[in-house]
Amino acid sequence: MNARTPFWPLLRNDLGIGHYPGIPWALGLGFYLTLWLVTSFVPLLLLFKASEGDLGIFFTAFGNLVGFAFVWWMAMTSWLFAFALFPGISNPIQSVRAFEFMFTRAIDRRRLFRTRAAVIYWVMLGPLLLNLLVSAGSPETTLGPDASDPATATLRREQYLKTFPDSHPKEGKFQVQPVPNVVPHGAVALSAWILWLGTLGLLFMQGYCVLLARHVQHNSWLTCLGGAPLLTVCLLSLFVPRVYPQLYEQSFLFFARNHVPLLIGLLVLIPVVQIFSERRFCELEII
Amino acid sequence: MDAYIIETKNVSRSFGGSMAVKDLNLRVRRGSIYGFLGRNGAGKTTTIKMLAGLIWPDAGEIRVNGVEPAKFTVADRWKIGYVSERQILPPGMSVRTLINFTSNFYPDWDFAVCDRIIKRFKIDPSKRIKALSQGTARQVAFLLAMAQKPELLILDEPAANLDVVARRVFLEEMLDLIREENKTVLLSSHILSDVERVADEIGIISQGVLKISESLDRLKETVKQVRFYGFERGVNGFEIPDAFRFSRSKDEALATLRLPDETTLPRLAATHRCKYEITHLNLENIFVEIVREKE
Repeated sequence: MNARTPFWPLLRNDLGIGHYPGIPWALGLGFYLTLWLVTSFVPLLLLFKASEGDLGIFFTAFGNLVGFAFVWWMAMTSWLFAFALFPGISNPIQSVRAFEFMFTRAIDRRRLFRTRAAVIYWVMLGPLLLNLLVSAGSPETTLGPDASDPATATLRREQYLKTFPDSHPKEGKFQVQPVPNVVPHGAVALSAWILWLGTLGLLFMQGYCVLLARHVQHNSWLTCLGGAPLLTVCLLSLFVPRVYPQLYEQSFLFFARNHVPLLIGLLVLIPVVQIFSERRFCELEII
Repeated sequence: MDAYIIETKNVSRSFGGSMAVKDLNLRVRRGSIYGFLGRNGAGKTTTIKMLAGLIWPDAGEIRVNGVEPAKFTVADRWKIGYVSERQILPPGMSVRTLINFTSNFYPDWDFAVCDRIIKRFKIDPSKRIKALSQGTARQVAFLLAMAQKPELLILDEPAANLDVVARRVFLEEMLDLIREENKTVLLSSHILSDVERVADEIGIISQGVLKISESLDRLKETVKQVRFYGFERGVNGFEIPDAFRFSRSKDEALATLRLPDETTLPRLAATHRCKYEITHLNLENIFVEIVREKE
């Protein structure tokens, strides 16, 4: 046996295999995966279907819902990372000591963290990834006339044209003017933006939870205060769109315009955050 | 290969301004059973956790098997077995699953040791950890540490919650391990009679300071309680500054002190013109005398 920690036993452990009897484990996993898909993947599809592929309607009508979805997603992520770092199920924060067992076995702490992070990433990004995959076969997306004032509507149209220069008027006869514009690969761009945003949020959560982890045992006040920034971000993501209704749409357009550097930036950020997190995780003390 | 498997140099660690361990210089010889003693809060567990690489020192240097615990590799960990004071094992796993899971990480895992300990402790391997009593869970933790065939076994209060019979079996298992070549045990325990039975080196820590670190035989040979009486010029002014403990009454004095050789006491008695009476102490009494010093 070489001195590398085997991956599969760690993965099986992080998936809870062996921790519970087989059938309850399978039922539990099935239930939670279904719940997760239904609450994460299906709403996006429904929202998209309800807007009939019109990005303008999607963002105008459902902008606030995107905020709620973001909050839901954040809440799930933070819970999962809390679970990853503090593996006690009943009371996560107080069970940092539960790592003592793993930390005193011949297990590479970096690999342990990497395995946990991989499980969380696949679970959390799974629905968003699925969304991106099915988006390639979704009906064409358009930007139709909207109910906002003419100046705003014109501005929006110009922004979409600038972002998607290949967009063209939809074929057919329309009673309303202007004619809806077909946004090529709009659904893919939208799904990619959501995935990008989700990955960025996940990286943020990972870095933050790892930063916080080493302090929680020493100071219970810090532990309580640790959740405050997350709560603030959640509240901001709900309330900022009310003050600035185009926040998510502008973010989407910005992503669509600059997707290459933004994707490269994300790809660079992933190993940076991972290396930082693993280093901090290795320095975690079990008091 | 170093003669000492554990070496610390001026190691200190504090928690929120409270000094848990101060300038600790601990050396544990390879192949020994080292009894590490101290009262609650004396700094035993802090020291052990630093040795196990669970917490880091604020100052000083630690070497376990020649490696700084912060830099332990997987291969370094193969050689170190650890049972903590309040070991948390994965609650949902059965004993058998936990053994199989842990065996994945050790090249020399010995399933025969597992079976032997399971049999001796009468552990039901199909039971889940959360269904075990605290004592049995401790036995499982001990089993896991033993089966990895470590060079160094660190046991922090391993016999806590064990009944007398289980404690005896645990001690026998530990002795079996030590009989193998180059095995070392660092044992922290409140049950001093157990430590006295198995340890050949003793370290006593009090208020974060290592007071004693030497062989048990030498400790028992040299640390004595002495009653001084029959002072011809009165007991007033009689002091033994180096004594672990010293008290004086109207016409006699009682001291627990180290007697490096046979001439120490006669010289002392001649100087102060008094008689003396020696009481031999067992480990428990020596421990109590040393750690009560500051009270």
